[in-house]
Amino acid sequence: MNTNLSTDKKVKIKVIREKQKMDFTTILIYIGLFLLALLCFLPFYIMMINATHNNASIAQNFNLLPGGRAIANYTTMSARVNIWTGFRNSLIVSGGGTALLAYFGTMASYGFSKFKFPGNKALFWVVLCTMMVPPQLGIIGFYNVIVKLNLMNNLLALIIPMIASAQFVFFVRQYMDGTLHKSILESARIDGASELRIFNKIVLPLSLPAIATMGMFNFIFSWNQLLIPQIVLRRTNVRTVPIIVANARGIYQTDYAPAYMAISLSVIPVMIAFVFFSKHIIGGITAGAVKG
Amino acid sequence: MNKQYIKKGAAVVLSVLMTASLLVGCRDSGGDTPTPTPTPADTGTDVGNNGDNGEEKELTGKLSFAHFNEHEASELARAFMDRHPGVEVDVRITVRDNDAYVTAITSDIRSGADVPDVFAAEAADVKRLVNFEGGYEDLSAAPYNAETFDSKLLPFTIDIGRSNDGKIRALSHQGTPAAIGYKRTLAREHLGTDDPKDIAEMFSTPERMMQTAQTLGAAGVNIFPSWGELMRMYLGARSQPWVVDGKLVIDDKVNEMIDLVKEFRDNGYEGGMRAWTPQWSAAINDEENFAWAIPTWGLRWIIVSGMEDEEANPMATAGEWGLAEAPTPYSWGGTWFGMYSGSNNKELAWEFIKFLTIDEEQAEKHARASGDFTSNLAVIEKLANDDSFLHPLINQNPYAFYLPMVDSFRGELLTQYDGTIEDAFQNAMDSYLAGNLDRDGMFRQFKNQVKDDFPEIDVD
Amino acid sequence: MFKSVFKNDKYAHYGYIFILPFFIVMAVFMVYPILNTFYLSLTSWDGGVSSPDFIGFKNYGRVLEDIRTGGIFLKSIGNTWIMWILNVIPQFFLALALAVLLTSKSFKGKEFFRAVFYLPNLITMASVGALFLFLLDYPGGSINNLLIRYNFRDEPFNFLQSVWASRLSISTLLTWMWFGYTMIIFMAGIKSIPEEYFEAATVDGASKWKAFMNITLPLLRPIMIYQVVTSVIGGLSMYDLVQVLTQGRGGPMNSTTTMVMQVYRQAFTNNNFGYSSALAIALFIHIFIVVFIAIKVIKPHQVD
Repeated sequence: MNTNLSTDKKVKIKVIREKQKMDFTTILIYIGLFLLALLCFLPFYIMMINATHNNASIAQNFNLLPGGRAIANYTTMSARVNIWTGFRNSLIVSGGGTALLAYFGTMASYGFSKFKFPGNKALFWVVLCTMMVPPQLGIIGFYNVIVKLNLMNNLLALIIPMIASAQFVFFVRQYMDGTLHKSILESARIDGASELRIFNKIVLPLSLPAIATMGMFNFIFSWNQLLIPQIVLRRTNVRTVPIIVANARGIYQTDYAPAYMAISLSVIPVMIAFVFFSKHIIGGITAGAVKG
Repeated sequence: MNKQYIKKGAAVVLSVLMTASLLVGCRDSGGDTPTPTPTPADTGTDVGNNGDNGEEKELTGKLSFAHFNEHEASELARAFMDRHPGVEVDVRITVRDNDAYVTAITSDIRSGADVPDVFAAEAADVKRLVNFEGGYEDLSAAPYNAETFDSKLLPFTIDIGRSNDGKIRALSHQGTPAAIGYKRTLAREHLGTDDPKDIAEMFSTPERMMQTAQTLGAAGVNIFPSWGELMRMYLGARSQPWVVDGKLVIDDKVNEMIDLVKEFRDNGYEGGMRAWTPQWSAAINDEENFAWAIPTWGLRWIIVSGMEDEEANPMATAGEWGLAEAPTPYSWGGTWFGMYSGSNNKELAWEFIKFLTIDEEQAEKHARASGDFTSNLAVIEKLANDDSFLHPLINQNPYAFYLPMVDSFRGELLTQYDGTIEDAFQNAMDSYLAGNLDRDGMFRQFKNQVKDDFPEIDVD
Repeated sequence: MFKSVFKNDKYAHYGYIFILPFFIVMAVFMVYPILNTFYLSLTSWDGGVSSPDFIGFKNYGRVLEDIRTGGIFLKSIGNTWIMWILNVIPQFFLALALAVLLTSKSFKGKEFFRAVFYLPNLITMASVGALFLFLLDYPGGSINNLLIRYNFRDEPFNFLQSVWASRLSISTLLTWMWFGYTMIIFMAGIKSIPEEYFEAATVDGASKWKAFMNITLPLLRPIMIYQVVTSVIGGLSMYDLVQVLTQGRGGPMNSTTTMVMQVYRQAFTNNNFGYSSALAIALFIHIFIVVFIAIKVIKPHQVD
């Protein structure tokens, strides 16, 4: 009897000790994670704080608290560039482009994934090859095309090409390979549904998590693009946010205060988009997790 | 769970699609500048003859004007629109960051679509742009006959605006001689005088400069905040350009400068900053840095814009700075204006360019309002002799100060390779000054870079 | 069996229709520009309005000459690789570790951390470059000020003039910007591994580490490949950040010039469009070879 009790106690102590060890490691991990999170947030914080100071103070101090120049900087910035027009244009480009991509890109993924037509593999390799081409390579040619199609200074010049995102098609196709069952399609066909209807009513909704994930990445990526928009959008009132931020620094690039204001403002819509979409992505992927 | 996603997701996609389709058709309709139509206006009525300034003609029409300096562009545009209320000037600004301005203009010209009627060119890019095929219109030819402006504008500014075939392509509204700008307070405190002539003497030779640097250094003051100041002073004082007959030339002044700068850096006399950074700008206000290379436009755009209360007082506090002659007169910077050779608006564009350059009334107004140094000879003469015309910042008359020097500048000093060559030079020098390269290594890197950038230049 | 094959055949043709819009856009906006670049690489076009002069493969000769004599383009290849490797290795380890952590059941605060770690990806590279150009400045940049104030150093350190400090700064910034994105992709991959596998492992008494090595890692292979491939492509086409951080000059002694910087510079700064296009094609071939090798190595054989 005695031995039993002491063994019980020993086991209890062992369990408690292990729990303590575990808690200690856990605490360490959480501390590490918080530090990392702080590091992620710090540059944003610095920029936003600097947006409320003047140039001299930005240059000479490491500011951690807001100064009083927010309104003044905003006014200087607005006199130089119109960030609200930029928001509108960027929203049209990124929103419109992502929407078109979501529809036509998924269509392409669907075509590759569920239809065994001759040349499927070869054509898919072609798609992969385009993924390997950085946008800077074809700039002159791209520019020529835009000019020939008379799309200079037209936001469509940025929206339409977004459909050709190989990454999107690749990712969504992988997803469809794993989660979209032929049986669903076949039963729909038996029911007499047209292909397009099947696509709209069944394929799109079922692939939504993957679409949302890549769509969001595409939105953010296209929002931050500078090179191609700068070449194609010349008139002041069609410029997107990155172009505007680049121009906010004044003539000799020493006027950092209004520039920080511009950058700080420019990040807000993207943050909102991310927060909005993030609910749908990872959670969504769990939903379609069961592979056949 | 799926239904939730379908509903939410579909709603999002649908709403974005709808919004996009509503707005996606918009080309640059409307906007923040008063330009209702997207097509290049084909007006530009009247203006048949190349009349002299002073005659008020009725001008109407719309002009597109591309520039990289937003302040100056809107000021000039407004002045023109005030003079001719029937004219609308649409200002397009692209900052000169990372070659963005030049790339934008050349892309436009290349495509021929929506090219601005009048576009500016900064000194570092002007030779490139005037030599760009299909860009600037030939102003030497009729009906412009700009060669006659030789007696009206600073000759060296006209020469800089010429393309390699000798034709005038762009004209400048400003002259840009430069000198040494120094803080009078620090001068009085550490050097015992703030008189421009005395300061000029202290900078007159490399040896004298060294001594001045030592005196200042002992008091904890850097003679220059960055080596860029010396670079500007020497580069603008060369007798040969970077490229002569297709061959890279390293002028004696360049060699002299390299050694002087290295000595300054090694002894800690120079502040080690990079020009055009916020710290360099902020140093305008401190007590540790003494002198800057200040061209005519530097009073406004280097000194005043670095000051804390720039917004409140664009002409800034009186007399805190002084202007002293550099060892050799040098020139730095400037902006040129020309018109697009394929413009539909040439008459109006020409009127604008004339207004900016040979129109005496405008030149004088601009000079008085902005403190800029105009290229208009008549106005220079007038203001130099006007004893009451003192720039409040330096308490000196910049026109009287610079007038004796303007004849020593030559337009041939600039080449179309300048921007890139100077970049390569600065990059190599930065490594040399930081101690990562020796002098030979520096030259090797510099020359390799130039060779890589311009295979057509003969580099030994 | 025959019936299903027949069914496939009957509907297979629809596949063409579905991929058509994508291919049209791709042909017009991606394939044509690349072909145009290739055409330009055979000319000596200076970007002016007159038509390009055909000069055959001379530009490629120049590219090979540059590589042979250790020229700037060769340097840029090395730089790009160095900076990419310095970035991708820490990034993948960090992202994988975090992904495992954040997907473990007992972990609290998944959503918060996932959102925060993704933050750096939201900002344009150019802005990050501008900010750090300012922070790393010498002698009076903020980081130098902090180092001196808290006695880590006696004198300011010239980050941007030091070859390795510049490269490390760029790599670190890239890691900072992309680890959140990579983490999310990995998380997606982990989430798609069926729970039963892990449950079976626990029943068998396997430790967490063993479960990770034998279940998670192998099943993450496809995602890893995808990430490595996209990372290589992105890494080899590094431009924005470095351009802004070095103010277009390519860093001390050209130690951080990237390949795309060279392409862009030759075209838009030097008006050597022919040579620039040849460089672009060379870069494309380079990427293609690397990706090909990567896929063959990481994924010896995959049954579809």
